[in-house]
Amino acid sequence: MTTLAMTTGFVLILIGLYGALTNRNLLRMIVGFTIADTGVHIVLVAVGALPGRTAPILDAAVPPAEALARIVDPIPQALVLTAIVIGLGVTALMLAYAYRLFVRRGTLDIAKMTELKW
Amino acid sequence: MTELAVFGGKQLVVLALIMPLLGALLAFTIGGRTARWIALLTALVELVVVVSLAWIVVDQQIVVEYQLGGWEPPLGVRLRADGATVLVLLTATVVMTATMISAHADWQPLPDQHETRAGLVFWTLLPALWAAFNTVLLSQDLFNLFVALEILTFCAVPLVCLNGKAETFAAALRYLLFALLGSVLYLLGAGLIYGLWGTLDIGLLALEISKLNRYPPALSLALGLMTAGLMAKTAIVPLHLWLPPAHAGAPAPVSAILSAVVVKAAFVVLLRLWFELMPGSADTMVAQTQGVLGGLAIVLGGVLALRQSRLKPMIAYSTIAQMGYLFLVFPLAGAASAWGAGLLHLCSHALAKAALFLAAGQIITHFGDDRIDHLAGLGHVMPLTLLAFGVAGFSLMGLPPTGGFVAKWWLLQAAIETGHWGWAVPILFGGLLTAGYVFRVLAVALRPAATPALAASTVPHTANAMILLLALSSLLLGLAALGTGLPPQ
Repeated sequence: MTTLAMTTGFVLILIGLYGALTNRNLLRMIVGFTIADTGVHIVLVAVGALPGRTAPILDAAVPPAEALARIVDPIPQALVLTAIVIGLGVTALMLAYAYRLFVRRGTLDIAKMTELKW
Repeated sequence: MTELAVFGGKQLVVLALIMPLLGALLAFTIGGRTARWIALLTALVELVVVVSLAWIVVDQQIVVEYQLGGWEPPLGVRLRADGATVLVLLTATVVMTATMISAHADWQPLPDQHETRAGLVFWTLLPALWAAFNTVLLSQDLFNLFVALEILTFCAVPLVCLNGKAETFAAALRYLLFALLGSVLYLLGAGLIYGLWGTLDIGLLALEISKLNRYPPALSLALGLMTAGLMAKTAIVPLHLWLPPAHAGAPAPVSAILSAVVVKAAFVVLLRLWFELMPGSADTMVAQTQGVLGGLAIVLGGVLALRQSRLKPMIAYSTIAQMGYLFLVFPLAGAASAWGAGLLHLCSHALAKAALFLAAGQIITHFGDDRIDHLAGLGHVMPLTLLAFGVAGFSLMGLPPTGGFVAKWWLLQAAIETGHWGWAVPILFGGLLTAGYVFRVLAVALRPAATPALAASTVPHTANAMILLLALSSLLLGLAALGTGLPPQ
């Protein structure tokens, strides 16, 4: 299961980066980056997952005394939660810029924004 | 140095992070005409905090450490201030404070306005950016560094398009895309490292890595990914395309901060990775590649800077070249002087580049033109601004006794000491290119004006004083470095 998650994560990263780097359309680039970001999150979760263990929630089923031997590493999950929030912010900011550019220029083609070259 | 935390130092480390953050929150909530006074007050308080912290660290020869919530690593996150951190912290503080003071009259609301959009954004995001930069310097946790770098990007990108022109939107978006690419790679690398040792604390990781005879493939992959990601954020060739439009298109005070402070953050993290996590990796493929790219950046940045017809794009390309010098540190890491040279170059470039961009901003506002060929008569109209521009330019070139000179001298020493003479070529050639583009500006500016009817300078004295202060600090840093000799690694 861990291998599967790890592989999925890396494949998503490659797909996302390929999409982001080969597309000229801003919206497609943003989608590509989001896919790559999701891939990284899956890899991070897979890093902390230990086979045969349960979620890191301490309750009647998992008393604190046995927790260390029975739960998966909670830290990567906490990290991923933070990374998801940051990713959301980044995506929103990118979409806002893409929208403003579309309103001004009527195009999402990054190759047409020639004034970028000084 | 003794690993000892003292009372006072700890509180100052925390204050150094909290003060700018508090300033940003207050400036945003209160807003209006008060926002800039809050930001300026924050800068002054932060100046006192950082100077006191630097005083404690340097005077008592200690490393100040603070564990958040009292949790020890690997569970907790450590903040740590040593001599090198404090030097960069102090440089950033001087640049930030001087820039804020010199820009204090910009984006003022009209008498019938409550506030200007640009003013509110500037005075809110600048302190926030400062807090993020200080976190990058002080944090010892790889994930924390990721978060800090992200906040830094979030604050820097909207500042690029402060004037709301469509082309600066495009520049900001391109900047964001490159920064995001860097973040994705960095986060993946950090995740893989966590998978290897179950900790993200740089100190604990360095201990684990020092026990290894050879690096496992996952570690090499992780460090390669993190290095590549951070290189995108430092705009090293060939990942430099985002920098010139963003740094040249932003308003001058923002350009000063972006070029002087923001690009340095990712480089500080790179220094951590290569000097603290894996000392003695100067001969690895990656370190050599970093050096080659640095050399390319010096030449390409210098040539492109020479070819620019306008002042601000020229200074922006100069940043690419000067960041190239920093990357020569990695293949030369075997020499004792390489670390100090990198640190000194980082600080002296920050001070000089801030002075150059602020001077360019004053030239555009008060001379009305930043085409280099049209600058004739500038020396007559704005002598003080031009003087500051010249002093800062000398530091970039590496004329003695400026900070740029000492840093390049130490780099040359490192090249000779390690026997890798080849690295001396880009160092010396880059100096020539820099001299070329700085003198090109000075030569035109000192010429008498074609139309002598230009009004005398109306540059505010505070702005001139701040630009001169930055340029002179870059010069004094060189004298101080010559006086104290090489810093301990």
